[in-house]
Amino acid sequence: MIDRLARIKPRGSQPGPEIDLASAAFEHLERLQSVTDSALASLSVDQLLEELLVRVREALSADTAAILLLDTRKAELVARAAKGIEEEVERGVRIPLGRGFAGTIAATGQPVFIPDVDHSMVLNPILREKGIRSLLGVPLVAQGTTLGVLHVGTLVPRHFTAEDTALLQLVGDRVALAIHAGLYERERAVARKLQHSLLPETLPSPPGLRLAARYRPARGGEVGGDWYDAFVLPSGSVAVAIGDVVGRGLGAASSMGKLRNALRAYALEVPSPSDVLDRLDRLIQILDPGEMATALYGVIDPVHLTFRFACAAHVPPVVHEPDGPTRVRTVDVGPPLGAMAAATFPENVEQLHAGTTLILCTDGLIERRRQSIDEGLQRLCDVSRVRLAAEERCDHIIKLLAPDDEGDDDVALMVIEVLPDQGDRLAVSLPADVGQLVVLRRILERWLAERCVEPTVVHDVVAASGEAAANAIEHAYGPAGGVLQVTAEWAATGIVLTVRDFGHWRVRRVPDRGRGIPIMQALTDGMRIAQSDAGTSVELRWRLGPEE
Amino acid sequence: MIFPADLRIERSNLRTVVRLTGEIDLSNAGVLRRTIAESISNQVIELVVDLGDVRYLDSAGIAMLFDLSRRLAEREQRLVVVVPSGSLIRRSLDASGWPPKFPMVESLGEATE
Repeated sequence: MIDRLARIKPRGSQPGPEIDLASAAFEHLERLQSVTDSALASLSVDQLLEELLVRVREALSADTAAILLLDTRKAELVARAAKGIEEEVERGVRIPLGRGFAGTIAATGQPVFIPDVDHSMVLNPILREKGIRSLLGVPLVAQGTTLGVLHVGTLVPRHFTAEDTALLQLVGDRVALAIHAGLYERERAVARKLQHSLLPETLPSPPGLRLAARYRPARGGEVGGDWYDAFVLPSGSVAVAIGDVVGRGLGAASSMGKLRNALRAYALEVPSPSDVLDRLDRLIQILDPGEMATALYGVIDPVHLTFRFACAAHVPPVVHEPDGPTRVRTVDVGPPLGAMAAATFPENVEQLHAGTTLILCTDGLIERRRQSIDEGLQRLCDVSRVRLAAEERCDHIIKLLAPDDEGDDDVALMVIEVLPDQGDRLAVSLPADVGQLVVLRRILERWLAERCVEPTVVHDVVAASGEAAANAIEHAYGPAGGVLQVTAEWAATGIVLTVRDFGHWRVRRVPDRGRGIPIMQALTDGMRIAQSDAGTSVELRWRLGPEE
Repeated sequence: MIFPADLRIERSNLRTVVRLTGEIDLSNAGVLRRTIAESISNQVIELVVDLGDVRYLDSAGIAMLFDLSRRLAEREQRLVVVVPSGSLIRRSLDASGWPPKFPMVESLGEATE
């Protein structure tokens, strides 16, 4: 290295004797070391840029040094760090790509040396004001992409040698790597954070259903546009969605966020899954043309256990029945969202049963190189053919099909398990909270539907037990709340239902209420209220059978 | 959206029509009562509450109707409740001692004739 360097003409105008050549070589080595010092590795990106500018300015005996970064959206270079011309950063100088000194370097990806600056060529007003006479600049390139420009300047005319250019390029490469790593890492961290914040923190636990979901980023922790969502609609039905926005990183994560929120908004407004996807599709076409996503959106009726769904070119659901085959659901599909005008998304209806598990996923779970989607789906069916609760089933599937850090694509998985029917004896414990009244109604409605109880009796059972439960919630406990226990027994001859609380009833404070008890009396064939120190129980009875 | 119900309010010069959907219980009856009460201007002569698409109505919901009816009566305004005769919630309303003198009609059309 020293030999080779010694042969290069040293900086300065006077070609010196042998001894000077040797000292010049040492000097050069020192300069090299100063910019490749391993101690620089511990600095943050900003500190590193500052330090490299100081050192390169010194090593090349220049007066100014500056780093400009390319803003690709605006096709402009923006000053990021500078020494000797600090105003450049303060004033946020912007240079159009392809024009002037720095703009040419960034556009061509080649170093430029201007021995005698003609200020008509230099666009940067600060360089002109400072009276810079000579300029040398190199592109900042990392992984084939030009990120910006590094340049040095002198206040007196100066001839930069090929060796000077090589040294500056060496520093430039180092700067480019640091910036690339910093930008990339920052973007990935933001994307991860965004993705994480957009996925639901907890899934709802609607009566009779158990939901679980997982999101696994691609190899190296890179997020994509996969998402899942589940929420309870005002009707008590459960909305589930899963989708995949084309693309990766920050852009995909933010598109996913927009789509997810839009879907939620439409889901609250329109009951039909086909219409929800139709609106989402139009939204993309109008506001984000060019964007594309696959999605599956459906609504589960927790009473009748129907799953109505529509599908925009998304992976079909896999249905696991405990005593039947685990199969891929045949689906009437529409095109991807945003793909074509006037698309329609047909409605599909799957009748679920007690014990059924629905498995929804994105293609990252089933796609493998050199394997078809069908093979992937078959593999998902194979690994799903086990008796596991929703959470454990998620873990099992992810472990077998999408282990950490192994996929090229991110993966979203949602498992919806229909809990088994409770049988002719029902027992439920709920927090004594007004929000649980709707939950209790859904539990009772499903239990009664499973026993083919006629609609009028269903109404009366649900309404009378609702009154008993509301009374307990209102009067049995203080603000801290308590527990509500509902047990019911069905026989062909009748139903007996008991609502229990474990509190002490307060004297009623609102005189206008008190319609609950007459309603219970009118809607039942018998009612008994028993109060003790242990709490209150309300027993309600209905006669069933042919004589009615 | 007042989960698990929803309401839409249509105002005209002499009448406010409130169309309720979903389920009314102890959890949302209070908020619904306030929202509906605030929607009635002094100028209207009647409030029509359409319960045609209400699947569930408990005693707290019925108390809300009584309360609205009382407030309106104090201002010489009146409450008309729409409940189709086939609606199951009529079973609870009948059981609650809903006074026969309170206007209850079959359909919104009948209420706004």
